Amino acid sequence: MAQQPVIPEERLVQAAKRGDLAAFNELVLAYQQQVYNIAYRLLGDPDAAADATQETFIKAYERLHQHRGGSFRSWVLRIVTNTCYDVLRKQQRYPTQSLDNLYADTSDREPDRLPQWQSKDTSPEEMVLRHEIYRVIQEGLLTLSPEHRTVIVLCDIEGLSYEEIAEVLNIPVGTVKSRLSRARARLRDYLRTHHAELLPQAYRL
Amino acid sequence: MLGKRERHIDIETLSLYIDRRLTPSHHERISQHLKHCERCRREYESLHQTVHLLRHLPRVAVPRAFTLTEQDVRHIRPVRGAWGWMQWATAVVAALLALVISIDLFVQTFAPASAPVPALERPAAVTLEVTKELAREQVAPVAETPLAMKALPRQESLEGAERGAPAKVLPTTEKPLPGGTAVETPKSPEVPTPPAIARPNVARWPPHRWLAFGLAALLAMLLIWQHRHRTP
Repeated sequence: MAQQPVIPEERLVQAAKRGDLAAFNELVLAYQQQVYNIAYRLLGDPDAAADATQETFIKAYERLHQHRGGSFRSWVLRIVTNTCYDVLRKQQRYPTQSLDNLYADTSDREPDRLPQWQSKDTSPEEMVLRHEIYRVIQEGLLTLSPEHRTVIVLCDIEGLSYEEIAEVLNIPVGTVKSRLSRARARLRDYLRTHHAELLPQAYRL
Repeated sequence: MLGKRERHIDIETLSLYIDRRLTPSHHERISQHLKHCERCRREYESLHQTVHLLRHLPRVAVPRAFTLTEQDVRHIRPVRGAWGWMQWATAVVAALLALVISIDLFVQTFAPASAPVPALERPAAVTLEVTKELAREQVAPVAETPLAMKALPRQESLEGAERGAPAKVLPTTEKPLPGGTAVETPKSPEVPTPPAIARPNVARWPPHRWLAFGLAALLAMLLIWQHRHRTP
């Protein structure tokens, strides 16, 4: 999850509102990994994710005066999800682009790093397998609708609570629950259909 | 209770069950059901596996730092939303302008030294009262007014009425009555009034009107300046 800045976040936010760019950049460093990961999981492409992340922080600086208390994290995450929604909507008008993302051979640019908690006695076969599983999950995510993809990314990948997700997406908690259950079911169906062999393996991770 | 026709669990309940968001008693009921229902257990396990995979996806490393440079934010005004000196100046100038205009109007209404008051129609009864006032003061004040017509006191008019002469109400004076407010009298064809609207004589503008003009010009300049420098 995002590292907490040493200086209390509220002080940094106030300083940033007064035009202190250095204070704002402290906030950027604290949130950039989470923002980039969300953008990457939503868009499926590292370059698009980098663009969306940059755009998110510029918008955040421009609109600082609009943030009036409340969770700064929810506020920033709302900006990145809306930015990604805009990108995805544009992609839908030009579907060939999204197909390229899905089927292009990105193995040389694969940003998925093997997890740091990987133990030394993991065999190379297992490493390859895990890598394969991560790639397949990302592919599966891209088959979901933007709304389903977003709730599953925020809840199951980023660990936000239902209430936080409701705040970020500005929807009722009930909607979060139903959307999440359907998103999980859809992703499960994708894995069962295309990569059934992976499912039993999952429990060994 | 476990019944043969017990319904299978819907995916939303299973999803809440995985996240432990059900009430403890509800959670326990589901656990019990899963123990003996093959179909629901398979459903639960596949969903749970999917969530498990997602939860263990590794974090993707950021390709670079996304901190902003001065260049990136150059297009944004330094003081956003908060009031800088520009906003304060505009507010003060606007307030002063409103104040000066109000004073000008106030002065115009109650002390029309510089502008002639246009003649207004008034009901006859009011003028009758006024002529009564005049009659009570000696004849002398009436005689002093150069353009005054003879004012008929009430008693005389009554006497006149007896004699068949109607009580006429005539315009008396254009000057303010001693101790009274300005009299607005009906126009009479014999009394030519000077033109009500004179051409604005800029040379005779009082100083506060010049001040109002200056403030309005300054306000316009400030607003144009702000508009040019607004945040995109």
